[in-house]
Amino acid sequence: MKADDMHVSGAPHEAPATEAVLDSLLEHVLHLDSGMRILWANTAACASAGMAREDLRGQRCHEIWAGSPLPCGDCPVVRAIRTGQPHDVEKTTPDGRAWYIRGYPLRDDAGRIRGGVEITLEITQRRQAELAVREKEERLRLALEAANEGLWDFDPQTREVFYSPRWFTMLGYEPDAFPQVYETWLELLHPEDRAVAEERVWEHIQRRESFNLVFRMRAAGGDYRWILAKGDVMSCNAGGDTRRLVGTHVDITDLKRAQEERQALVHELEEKNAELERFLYAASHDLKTPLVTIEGFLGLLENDLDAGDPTRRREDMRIIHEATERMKRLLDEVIELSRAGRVIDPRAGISLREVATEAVAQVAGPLRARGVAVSIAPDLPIAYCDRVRLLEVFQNLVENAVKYMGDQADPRIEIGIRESAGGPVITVRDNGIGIEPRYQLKIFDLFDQLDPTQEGTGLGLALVKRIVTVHGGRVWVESEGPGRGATFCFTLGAPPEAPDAPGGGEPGDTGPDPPASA
Amino acid sequence: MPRRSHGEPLRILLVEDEPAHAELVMRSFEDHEIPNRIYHVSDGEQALNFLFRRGEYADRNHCPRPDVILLDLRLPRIDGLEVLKEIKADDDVRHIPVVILTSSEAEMDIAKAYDYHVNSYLVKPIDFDKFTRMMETLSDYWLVWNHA
Repeated sequence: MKADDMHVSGAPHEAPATEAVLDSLLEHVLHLDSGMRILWANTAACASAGMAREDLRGQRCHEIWAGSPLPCGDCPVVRAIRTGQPHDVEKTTPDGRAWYIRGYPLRDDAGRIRGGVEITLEITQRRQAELAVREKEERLRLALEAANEGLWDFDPQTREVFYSPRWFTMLGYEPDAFPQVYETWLELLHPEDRAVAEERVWEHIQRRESFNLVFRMRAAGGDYRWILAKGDVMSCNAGGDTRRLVGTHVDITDLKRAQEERQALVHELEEKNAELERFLYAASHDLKTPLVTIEGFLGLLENDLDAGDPTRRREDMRIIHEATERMKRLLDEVIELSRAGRVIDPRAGISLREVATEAVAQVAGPLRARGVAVSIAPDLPIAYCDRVRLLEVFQNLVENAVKYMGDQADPRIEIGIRESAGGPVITVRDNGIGIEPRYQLKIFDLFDQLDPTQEGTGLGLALVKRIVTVHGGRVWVESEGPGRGATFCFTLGAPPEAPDAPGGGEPGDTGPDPPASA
Repeated sequence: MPRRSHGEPLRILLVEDEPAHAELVMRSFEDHEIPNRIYHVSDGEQALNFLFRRGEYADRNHCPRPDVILLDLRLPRIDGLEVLKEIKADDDVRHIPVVILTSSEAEMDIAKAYDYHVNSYLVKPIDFDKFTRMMETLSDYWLVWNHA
């Protein structure tokens, strides 16, 4: 075929070989004059119009295919004739079919444009396929959005990663706030999680396994969010050498928090339950003890009455009386202990110095009787806790100190404060008999008394422990051993949503414990 | 162990922190037909010191080996179970019968006591008559019938 064959003028086409070529195409081929009249149409075009070639000749193409008296506004042939350049367009006809149309100008030997050639390919199927893909993508995007998941697609060879907008926004960043590379992920990982997470990712790429990983990532506010990453390894070529890791991110911080809260609650309940069991055990034992005494000595009293022994009789009655007194005291303290679990008004800031002073005044009798000198540090802080309960704490600690003063010639009690890493520590220090290390935990247990000859029920320090614990604090005793005195220490938990700390703790003032101020 | 020679009083080590209960036990043994002598200590530490002849009980003439040990469970300083454990772990004293005498009916306590090889576990009855009868039976059993 000569190249000139395409540059024929408006004359009818007379080249059978060329026609045969054009007739074999799937594309519609039209030869049009400058008025859009059809001079020649190939077989595909005739079939599309449902007309014979002879009948098409002389018709205007827009009348046949667009049913319009005027040329289509975007007709590429019209534009080609006007500009002398090829043009193309994709369009959908009213019957729903999609077309790709190219228009070429057709020149005569003098180079003047005499008409045009239109080549049209039906792309309905291709369009539908494209649409289907787009719909799928859209559906995936919607699903990810609905599930609040961010998408990532990692190419280990280039270390490039596609991070979806949601991937960024779930951490509070603008979409594309960071480069789409592997290092972005590494950079945002919590330093403690980095090594493990990275190791796991490469391990999964190596083994071509899907994975499920939880780690923390730094959010825009500087805080860390818990992220659940799920992913799968995909092979990109037939050999499977080139692998990609594709997956999602979900923010599970709230879930984690809820889990942690639940665990803490369960733990608290278990502890409470155990405490209740211990209490029931101890209480039943300690209530039974005076009962055995009372019953026993009533029996002995009867014998002694029969034997007419007045000394023993008086002794029997004294012991019975003591046992009932003890039961009474025990009941009172059990009631007190049950109240200790209730915090009445923790939000009011109270002066610990005032409370300590009041507690000391209440123990004035025993203090005076034993000649104990008490000092209270002037810098005791304001605390956010239940005043009545805290009064009981000081009172019990001071009473305890007096009780175990021993034969100290110069008995002293100092109430003070010291700073520690965990906040201010309130101290009640005495120079009494002290306490061996092995008993330093046991003394806070219910009903435990080191010295059975001492008055009391063994509930005092248990009560102190309970009140302090309910306030979110800790209580313990420090003593270098027998004869070296004892320091009872306790902390109080953080104030409830109070902007200023309860203690006078200055920022940074958390060095080693200085000696108690007093 | 050396058998108690004829005519010698029975030796009972009573470990009891509650003075009134100790008095109850001692009075129960007062009128007993078999001559006896009760050594009373009031906490676990004293009990072990007595048995191992340490500290204030270093003088062996004042703290002979008892024929039976009556041991309360809830004791100051070292509790009864701990005392029991130490007794049963010691070659010299582990053959001495140990009778737990306590207010506790807690299954845990009973199970642990037998785990530590206690010889008998008795719960103090509240009723005086029963208490008296128990003391009589106890002394009869461990001090008359039982061969240690």
